[in-house]
Amino acid sequence: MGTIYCWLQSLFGQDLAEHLWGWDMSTQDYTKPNQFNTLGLYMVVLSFTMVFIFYYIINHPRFNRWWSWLIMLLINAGLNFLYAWLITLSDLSNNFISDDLMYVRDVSTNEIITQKIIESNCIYFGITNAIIASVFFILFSFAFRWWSKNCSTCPFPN
Amino acid sequence: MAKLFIFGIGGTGSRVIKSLSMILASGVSLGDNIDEIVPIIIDVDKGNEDLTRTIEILKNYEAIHSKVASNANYKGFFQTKQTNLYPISGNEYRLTIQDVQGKTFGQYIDYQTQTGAQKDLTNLLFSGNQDDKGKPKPLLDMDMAIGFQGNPKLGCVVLNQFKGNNDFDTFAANFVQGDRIFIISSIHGGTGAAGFPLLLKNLRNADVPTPNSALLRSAIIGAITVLPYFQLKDGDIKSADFISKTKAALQYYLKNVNPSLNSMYYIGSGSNTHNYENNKGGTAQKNDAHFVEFAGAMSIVDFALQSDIMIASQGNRFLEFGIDDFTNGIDFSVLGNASNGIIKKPLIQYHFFKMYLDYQLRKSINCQPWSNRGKVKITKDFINPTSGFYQILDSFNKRFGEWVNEMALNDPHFTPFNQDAHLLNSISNNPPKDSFMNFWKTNYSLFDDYLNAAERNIGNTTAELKFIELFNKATSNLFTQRYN
Repeated sequence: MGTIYCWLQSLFGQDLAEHLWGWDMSTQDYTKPNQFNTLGLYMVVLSFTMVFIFYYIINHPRFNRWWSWLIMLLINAGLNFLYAWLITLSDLSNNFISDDLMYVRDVSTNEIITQKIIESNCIYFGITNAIIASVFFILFSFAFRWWSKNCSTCPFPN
Repeated sequence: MAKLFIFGIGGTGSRVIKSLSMILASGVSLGDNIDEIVPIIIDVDKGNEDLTRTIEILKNYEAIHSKVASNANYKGFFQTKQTNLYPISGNEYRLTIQDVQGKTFGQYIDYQTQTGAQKDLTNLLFSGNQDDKGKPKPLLDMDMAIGFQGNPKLGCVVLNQFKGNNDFDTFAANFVQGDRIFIISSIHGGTGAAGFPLLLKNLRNADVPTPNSALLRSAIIGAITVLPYFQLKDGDIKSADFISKTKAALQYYLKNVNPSLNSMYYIGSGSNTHNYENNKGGTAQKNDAHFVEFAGAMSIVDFALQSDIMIASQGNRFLEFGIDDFTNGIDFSVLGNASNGIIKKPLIQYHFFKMYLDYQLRKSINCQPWSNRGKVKITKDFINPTSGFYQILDSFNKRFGEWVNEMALNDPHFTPFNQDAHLLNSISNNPPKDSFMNFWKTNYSLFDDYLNAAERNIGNTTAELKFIELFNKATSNLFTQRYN
């Protein structure tokens, strides 16, 4: 799952990616939990749930236009953005990110020269999650729409 | 493949056939005994508007049926085959009465060349007058091209030409073992009152050279005689004479007609009737559709549904149509179980079908899965003005709407549908079942839901058949699940 996220690593930065892979400064290895797997699993489950809700729960003749589907895609993207942004922001605020990933320090004084992971990295990671969630939403839509009574031709006829 | 030949004589005959077409369009089945109907209209008044409307409806019905008949197992709207025996343009479905156009009755019987006793007899029989625009006019000078104007004694002479009539022989040649005949006429007018006994006599006494004469003599024949059910405003034809004419005719039928019939249906409406414009014929004769004609058409369905054994004997089966109370009009709630069992579901289905086409089709086509799913798609091209099939269907439906509206405005009112209500509440005195999910899909979104479900069960077929099948299945399920 992390590999998929890392296709868009340039958006949210290598340091945040290393943190999410589970880098631990104290062991100099990836010994913390791999958060990509957890985040990815939630993203996949949420995207599938949104597709299922649209095609089989709502399943309404007045809500089967392309724009209805687009609304659902955007809601899914929004929820996934929020989830990824809040998780990483929480790590950032609670100092769960290894120091060597967070800062560039002066070797002699150990003073912080620059902060490598800031709030914008979290926002960009949220955006990355939203993009990937949208791709999964599209894939799930085309895989599971066929059996929907009222929405099988959404977003466009088969 | 048994056929039911239906003779509609005069204006009432045309109007009952019109009602029958509407009933059959809605998918009412004629059962296993009859596979096909063959309407034959007998009316010398070729220009009368009732006839013109009926012919248009019959032609459109046949065109629509031809498209759905590609599936031999098809059941539903327009399922009953209807055949036109007389394909000459301008004369479809009509048995030609020869030598009447542009002639007076005197010219028809060659009065000018008659002499002596023959002329005296003619004078004795036809010396009366008929009002013509308020002035008396000799019967001998009456124009035959607009019918017999309430004078059955003229009709008896003019219509007595079945023997040797090419169109009658065409009918006889098409009549085979197992086929049946049904005759529709009014008893109080001119053409129907005269034509019915004559036609029956010619059938029961058929002889060579008429084709299949032996089969005709023994054919199962049913008839409906329509008793007075409307009044006319003051004018040349006196509706005050209807009852006396009816009594005289019934007396005659008792011995000369009834014993030859396998089934005889009587219908009429003695009170609460409407006053029609007093038109002798031609394009001005356009009587509104009436419940009596509708019930008359149901008698044909009843006749078709009887097994041969049930109606094998002659002179034994006489039926009337009754309703407990129609002081507040007629809808499904006051019809009997037998009638509702035959027509309620199909008519409601067709009403839903028409409402959807009128109010929702253009919004849903190309958007709903029933339209754009599957190999055969129902696109906007299907309903554009150059689409022959849809335009024919639309024309038919306009006549259906006109027919329903006219019956609602006539007396007694027949108002099975409330045209001003929303779709699901448009069945008079029959609200849909309550359901806790009713709020979720209402009216046309619910209809689209049923259409989308129906689309799953329709195989690869033509666009026309798919379209009709969709609405058949959807309206059937809608009725069964929400009203039954």
